Amino acid sequence: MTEQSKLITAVIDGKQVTVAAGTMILKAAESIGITIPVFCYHPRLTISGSCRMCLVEIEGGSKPVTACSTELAAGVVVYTNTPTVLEARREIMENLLINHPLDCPVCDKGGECLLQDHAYDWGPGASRFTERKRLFRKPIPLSDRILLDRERCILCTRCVRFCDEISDHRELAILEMGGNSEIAVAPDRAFDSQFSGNTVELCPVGALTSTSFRFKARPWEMARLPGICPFCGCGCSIDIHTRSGNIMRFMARENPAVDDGWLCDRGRYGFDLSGGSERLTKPLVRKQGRLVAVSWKEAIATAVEKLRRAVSQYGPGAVGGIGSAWSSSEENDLLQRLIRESLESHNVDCSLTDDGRPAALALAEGLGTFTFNDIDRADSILMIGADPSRYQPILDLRLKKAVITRRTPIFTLASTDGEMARYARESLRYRAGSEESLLRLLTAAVKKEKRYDSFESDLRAGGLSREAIDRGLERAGLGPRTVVLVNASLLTDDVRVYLVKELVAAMGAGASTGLLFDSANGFGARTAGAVPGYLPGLRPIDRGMSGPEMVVAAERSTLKALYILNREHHDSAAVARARRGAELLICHALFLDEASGSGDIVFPAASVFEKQGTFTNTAGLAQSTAPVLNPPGEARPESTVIEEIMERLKQ
Amino acid sequence: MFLSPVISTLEEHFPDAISEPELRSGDPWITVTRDRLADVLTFLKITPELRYNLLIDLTCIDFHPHPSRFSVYYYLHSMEHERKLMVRVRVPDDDPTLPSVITIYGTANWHEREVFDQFGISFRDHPDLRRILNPDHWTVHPLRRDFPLGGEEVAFTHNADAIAVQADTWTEPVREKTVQDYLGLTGEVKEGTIIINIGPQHPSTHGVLRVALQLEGETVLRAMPHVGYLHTGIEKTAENLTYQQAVTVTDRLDYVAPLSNNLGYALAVERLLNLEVPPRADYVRVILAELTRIASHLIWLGTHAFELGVQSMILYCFRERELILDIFEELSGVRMMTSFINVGGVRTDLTPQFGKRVREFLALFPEKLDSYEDMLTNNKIWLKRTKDIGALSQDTLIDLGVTGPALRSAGVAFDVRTAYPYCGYNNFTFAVPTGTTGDVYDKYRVRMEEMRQSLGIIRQAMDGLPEGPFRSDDRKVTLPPREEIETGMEQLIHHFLLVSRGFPVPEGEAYSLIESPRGALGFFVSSDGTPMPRRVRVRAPSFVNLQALEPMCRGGMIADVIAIIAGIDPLMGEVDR
Repeated sequence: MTEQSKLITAVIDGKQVTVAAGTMILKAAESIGITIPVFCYHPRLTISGSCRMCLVEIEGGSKPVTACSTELAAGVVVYTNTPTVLEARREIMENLLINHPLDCPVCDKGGECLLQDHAYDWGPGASRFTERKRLFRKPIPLSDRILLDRERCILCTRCVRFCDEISDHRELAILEMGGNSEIAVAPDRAFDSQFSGNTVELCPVGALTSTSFRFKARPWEMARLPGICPFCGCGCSIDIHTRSGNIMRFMARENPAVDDGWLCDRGRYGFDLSGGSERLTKPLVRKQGRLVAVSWKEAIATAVEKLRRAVSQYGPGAVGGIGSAWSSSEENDLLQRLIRESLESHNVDCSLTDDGRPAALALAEGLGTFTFNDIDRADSILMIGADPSRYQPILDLRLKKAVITRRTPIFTLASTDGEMARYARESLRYRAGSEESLLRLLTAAVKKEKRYDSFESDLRAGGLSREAIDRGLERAGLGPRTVVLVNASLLTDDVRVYLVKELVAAMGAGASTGLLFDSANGFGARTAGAVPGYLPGLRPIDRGMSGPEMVVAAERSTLKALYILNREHHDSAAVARARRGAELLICHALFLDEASGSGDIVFPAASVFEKQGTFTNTAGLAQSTAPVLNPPGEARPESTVIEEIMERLKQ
Repeated sequence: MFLSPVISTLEEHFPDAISEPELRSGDPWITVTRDRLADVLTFLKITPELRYNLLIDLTCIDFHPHPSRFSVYYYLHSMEHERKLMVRVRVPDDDPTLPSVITIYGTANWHEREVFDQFGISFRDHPDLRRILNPDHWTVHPLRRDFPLGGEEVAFTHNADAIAVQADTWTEPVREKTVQDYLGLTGEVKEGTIIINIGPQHPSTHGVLRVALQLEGETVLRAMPHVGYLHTGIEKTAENLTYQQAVTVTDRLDYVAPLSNNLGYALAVERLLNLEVPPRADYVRVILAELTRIASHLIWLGTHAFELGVQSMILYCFRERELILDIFEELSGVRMMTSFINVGGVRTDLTPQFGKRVREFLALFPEKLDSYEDMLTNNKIWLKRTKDIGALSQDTLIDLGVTGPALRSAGVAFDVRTAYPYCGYNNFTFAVPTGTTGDVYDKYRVRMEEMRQSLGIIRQAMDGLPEGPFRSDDRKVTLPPREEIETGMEQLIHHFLLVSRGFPVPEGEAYSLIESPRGALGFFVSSDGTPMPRRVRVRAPSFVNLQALEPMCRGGMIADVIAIIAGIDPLMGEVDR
């Protein structure tokens, strides 16, 4: 303890610097505003010390040392700007450029390339090389997303280290030796990691490029705007790069509270929402059986009139509204206000296939308290029914980091195989459907209570024994800083919610619990009140029909009118079923397809990149986004439409 | 530390008001506190061993987002002691005002109006502090660094709904103008007088110049120039270009002498870079600058004579000017906006035919000059129209900041080429012609002789033209030779970055002053360490000289206004920028 917190003082370029003992010269220099050029060094990867670009001189030293891997010793005098250092940098640059192909005009990295920048800042202005450069076949697809250009590679090994240390998929390696060294996918592996895109961002040159962005744009052509990735429950911070009204790519924007500066490929490359289809640009109203484009004035007037008629004819219980766990909190709030305040109905939910209420109950009962940072500090982690690698990939990286760097014990119980199995201290399978028994038995095991045969037999049928659970608990060692992560979709009814609550209570004070939502705003949709029985802020209110109940009721024509937000994120089959019996189907959609095409009124919606919105990630972190594009044609953000409808309904 | 006797004297007399003394490219620089500014400037002007009687320039740089964002600069020159001094004042953000120095230096009038217009700094006790370049009803100050540069979407009917049009917030309703507004008068307008405009659309105003005249019969009581019709935001545009790209907009300032502007700008940037150009580049620059001087004077002469009725002169002058434009085309492919003098030297080496073409011109032109003088110098009508017209005293001219032939015609032998030589002008022998009265006729005589002297300089430069590179070989600034890009990795990288991003320039400011055909042309460039300038201030001689229009015209006849304008030879491209 005392050793680590000891401070030492030294001098760099004539300036005094005081840092913790063990700090590398590179970091120490950075802390007083001195930048030293690097290639292989990256703050979130282990130190390589191979590129030699960060060489600095130490007074009294026999030769320059690498700043990235040399600790600053107390009292040393370091120079980063002597003729020796400048000559070293020039020669390293010359060395690296000898075999570098003249690809700048066709290389994606041009304009944001560390090699170019350092060559200009530190390298010679002209080449002395008159031989033939070594050649490789290029480009080589490492996967369907990533291409490798071996000629451009400067063998910094950042990509290899990422795969080894961060994603732990270990697909990349350096083959051969010396002058023949090359990056390659390790034998008998495939580079299909869902984190492969990060290597493109890490690569200091254009050796790794993505098929998504290859040849698309130059860095200076693009505007960079901050955003939040809307494609899963993590809500990673991103930089959205646009050019002339089109999104060109996403890049990471480090948020230590969520993503550590990494992105998963689904988020990174998923920004093309269209898949080639044309966006809806005009409101559509069904007239004489066909959907016809009309003005906004007419579309809204029609919606107001029809909703009013439905309520006056059949009563408020005959209308219902569906928000979305993929829409912003503002939109969900407006939706529930439309239904509850304007139409005086209680039929509100955020999904057509699942009852959104139990998860809201769970949040109201205090089961959504964990943060991603808790993972870094946890004594142990208990995961129930969760596979973050599929639905919260960046959280998965975080869990791996905890296991790899701190050996945090994880006890995971799931109904399917997941990535965490390899990292967990104990990984058990249970049969899907036996979650209730599982929770009861877990609680009993934690409390060290006697056996409960009925539940045990249920679990044993799926191959899970009490002994295994006991063993798991012992291996993981639950304690005051245990984090319990429960898959939110596990909570299909109130009973399960209370079982989880009991389990957490049994584990003792201090355990932080988290619900894992797959969706970008599952948490926020519930705190915004787009669930049966809860107003915004999780204040209880009369409970109306849930989404699935509304589908059934609509099919039977007992629910007459259904208002759906974000149609693309709702199950088409469920929409079709509701359509069969409902008199009035209104939806906001980005595209016209079979499901939206079955509506009576279709409002052209703005995509998540075209409007402002707050999304709460699975750890309860609310993050706001600003629009980076304009909606096409006459498409409008849902919020403005709902507000206008509500305004008219008042009159 | 002793930097200069001037600084020492100032520190002695104003111990608490002077700070940050330094030397930059041979000029002393100091910072003065706002409250002592007027005292210090007065002291500098009247103290015999100082006698800074010419205020070359008065301008502002916005250092936003640094705290204390505005600095206003007063660039002084002493005719007697032939040295310059830069006085800087930092303006507090919460009170962006300064005392006007118009009573010390009359030339401050339009400069202060421009600083007010573009930066929003108010000058207390300025008699007529209104906008000068931007429309009167604007409420914004465009040269501020937080004012949008451009690149924002332009509103058309198809996208008007989609974009937020800010311009509505930039203006207030256009106010009804009074006669006093047009004339810059206060108080009652004298009965029986007529107010008319000359220009802005007029064949004889040398561009889009508007002069509001108050006439009593044919006599001019007041002549108020209104400028800004050609304001295109060149200085702002330059802030969004790399240093090398910005050369291309300098062509468009004084657009009949583009190479002259290129040169002034390039010298300022080279000073910031501490970059020396090879001797051959210097000689080529001088040859091009002097050819440009002749070409510019030919336009002056042709249009001047034409406007006073000698209608054939314009054809002769343009015929000869064509020869020069042909030479430029031979050299660069471009007749006018060559951008041929750039940062680092000149664009390409001289072509094989260049020398021959220039010597042909040198052989042919003196005779043409003789023929022009035959036509005009002793011509009774010419004398009637130009003699004793528009004469002002030396002191008045210096107070108004007038430079160039307009000043030299009154007998003040101030020429930047001899006072502060650049580009190796001190290697050449030439005379600086002067007049005696400063009237339009003397201005004519001075410019005619200048053309002859330019011929001499060109001949000397051609004879002494050294071999060697035509531009700096510093690869961090100048592009690599084209053929090297195909095989040299470093060259390809440098080309890529120099073109796409530009070369970074060390932080700081540099003022380069040259003698353009119209007078002292200044480029005050401020760098923030990035590849794009923070500020490119153009001290346009025509802008300053136009302030002399009013006193020159007062009491004269309306027809003389044309002759006076022609005598000043303003070029609206550099007046308005």
